[in-house]
Amino acid sequence: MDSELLGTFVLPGEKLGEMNTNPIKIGNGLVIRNGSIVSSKCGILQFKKPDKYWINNNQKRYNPIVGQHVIGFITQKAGTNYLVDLGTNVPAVLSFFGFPGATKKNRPQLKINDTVYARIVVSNGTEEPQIVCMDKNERASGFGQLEGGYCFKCSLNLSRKFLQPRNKILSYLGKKLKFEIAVGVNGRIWINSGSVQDTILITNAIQKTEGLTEKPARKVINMLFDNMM
Amino acid sequence: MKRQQLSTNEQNFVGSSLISGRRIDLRSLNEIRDLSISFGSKYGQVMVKLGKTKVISSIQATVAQPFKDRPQEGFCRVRISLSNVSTIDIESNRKSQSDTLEIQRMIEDSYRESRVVDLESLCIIPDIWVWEIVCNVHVVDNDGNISDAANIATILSLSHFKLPQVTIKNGKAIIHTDEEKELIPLSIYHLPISVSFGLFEKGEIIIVDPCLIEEKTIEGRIIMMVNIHEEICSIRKGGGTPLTLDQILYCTKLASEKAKEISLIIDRELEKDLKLKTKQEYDNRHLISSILMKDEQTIKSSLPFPISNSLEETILDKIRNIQSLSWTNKNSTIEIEISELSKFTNLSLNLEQKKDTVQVINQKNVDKSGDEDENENENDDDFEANNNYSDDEEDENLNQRNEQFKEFIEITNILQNQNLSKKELELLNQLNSVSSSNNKTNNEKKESQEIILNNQKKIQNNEIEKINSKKNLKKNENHKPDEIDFSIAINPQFQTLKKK
Repeated sequence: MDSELLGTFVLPGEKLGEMNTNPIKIGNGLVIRNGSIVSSKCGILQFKKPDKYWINNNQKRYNPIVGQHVIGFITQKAGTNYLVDLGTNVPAVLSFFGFPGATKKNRPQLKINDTVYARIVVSNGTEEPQIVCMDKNERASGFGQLEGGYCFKCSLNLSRKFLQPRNKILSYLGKKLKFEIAVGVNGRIWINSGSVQDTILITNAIQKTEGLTEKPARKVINMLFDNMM
Repeated sequence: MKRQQLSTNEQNFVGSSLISGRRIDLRSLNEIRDLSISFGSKYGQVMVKLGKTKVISSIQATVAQPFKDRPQEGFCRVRISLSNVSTIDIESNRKSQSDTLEIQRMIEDSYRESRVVDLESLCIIPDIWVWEIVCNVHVVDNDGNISDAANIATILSLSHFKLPQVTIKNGKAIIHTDEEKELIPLSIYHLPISVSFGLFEKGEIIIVDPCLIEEKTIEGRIIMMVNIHEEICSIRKGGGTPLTLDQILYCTKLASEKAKEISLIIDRELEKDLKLKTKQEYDNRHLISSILMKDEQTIKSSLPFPISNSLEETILDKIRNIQSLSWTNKNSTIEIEISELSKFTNLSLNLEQKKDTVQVINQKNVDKSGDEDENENENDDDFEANNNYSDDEEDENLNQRNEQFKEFIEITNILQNQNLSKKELELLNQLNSVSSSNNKTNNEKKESQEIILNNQKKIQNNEIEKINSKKNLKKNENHKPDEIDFSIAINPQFQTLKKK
């Protein structure tokens, strides 16, 4: 792997290195072709010790990966399953037994067009992805139906930034308003607060401060507050 | 199965926010989204953006037979097409395609009945040949309110389009190309603009320009097409909640206000675009708009992420090529087309050093219109006086120009040995023919050229090495310029004569 290209912007089709005897873990956006490592997406090459390489890119289309938390909309009931739309090419399957404390007689009471916060359990290239509304230890812990509020779409990069532990925009907003937020890695964010005005403010604040650093983001948020009040 | 309805969260939220008088994207109830318009490379190609909805339109003009009961009228038609590209989440069914049919018919019928285009001017030979103009509209991104965007796109493309001239001799109709005779614009009487309203809460709440999420929660829609002269061209209401008379009159007033706003924007953009009169300016419009960075130093600082050195090279070279371009004036006799800018050669580095030597060659007077800064203070009399050179000066100028022109040809001859496209070979042959008319015979020329070629190759290689060592360039070994597309332009600004 070229060490000169680490941390730089890379276009798809660029040769990044060749296969050596050193074992390397290849992640998002990297592909092996004719014995050399080639990039398949636009983005910045990243490296984490000791041996992980990947490309940090931004896109709107989501590919399901096991273990990630997503927001989905229920589109159909089929037998003992719900079909849930995650924004992928194929809807995911959520069975009635994917809820804590579910038995044959104790069924969940969700309807079509409800929103659901879930965790991906199975995703190959061959089957439909399967999701589940509970923890590894079969507890609720935040999963399940999301009632009220408003859910909007965004890019995958934005949703990943809001899942980081110390997000500055969220902390700044939290000083001024009270709200509840759920972030799905498939590019969907759900917000609920006491009044309609506050949720509108927060959705616009999140959408308009994408890609900004701290100070200009604060300016934008302050402008939004002034216009609303 | 993709989802066709909104989730209950979204529906309830949008409904409750509308009742409290607010919209999701912080607009007021009567506000339209931002309109932006851009024109394509040919007459009649338009791209319209209303917020996030994007619509592209273009025009086809073909010759057809008229109807028998209307032998002197041409045709003016509109076709709108949605595809899966534009709507991913919410599926485009037969139902949504029937929506586009509705909009298509509305636009066609209202244009025909309110006589937007003069159909009798589209007649070539009555009862036999007639122009048929079809406007194809493609929806690229659907974020609500396709009807408004499609309407603006059709109006703009119709008023931007130009027909070729037709002459009739002995019963035959000859269609002239744009090089023989100028193109004529269509005769358009007025520009109807559609404004669509969304109705909620049994008609008590009326929104202008609903976005996609609002369209799904609305209980009814009404679309009005209004003129800048406050004439209503059409009203369409297909189902939904009923309205009272007062509410409809209120809508008409709102529609006339919005139509004035939009028509101002349209007129402004049309004027800007139609000021570019010469064809070269028109074709090269996009190149002008793509030049944003002038200094080489600002590239790194303007980008928020770091770049590798090879990428930086490619970007810098593209910018240098674009900066060296300009468009020749009417008096000049040589015009060279601009080929692909995506490829560059090492030779371009050498040409920059020789920029001073490349000149505009005018067989008539020297054209000083490139040096606008110098001529601003001078009067018109002085300007004309400066153009008249004495005989002695003319000879000197000619000699120097010929020498510099030779160097120019040498470079082009180098490239003749490499792979060039047909167009470029033709142009180079033109250059050679012009040069042969000036001086020596061909044999003498060839000998001198060969000698100079060999010397120059040596010089070039040395220079390349020097330059590369100075800048510490890192070349990708894999990068080999197999095909070389050479882009030359003659810049009238570089008229500094070389003193030997």
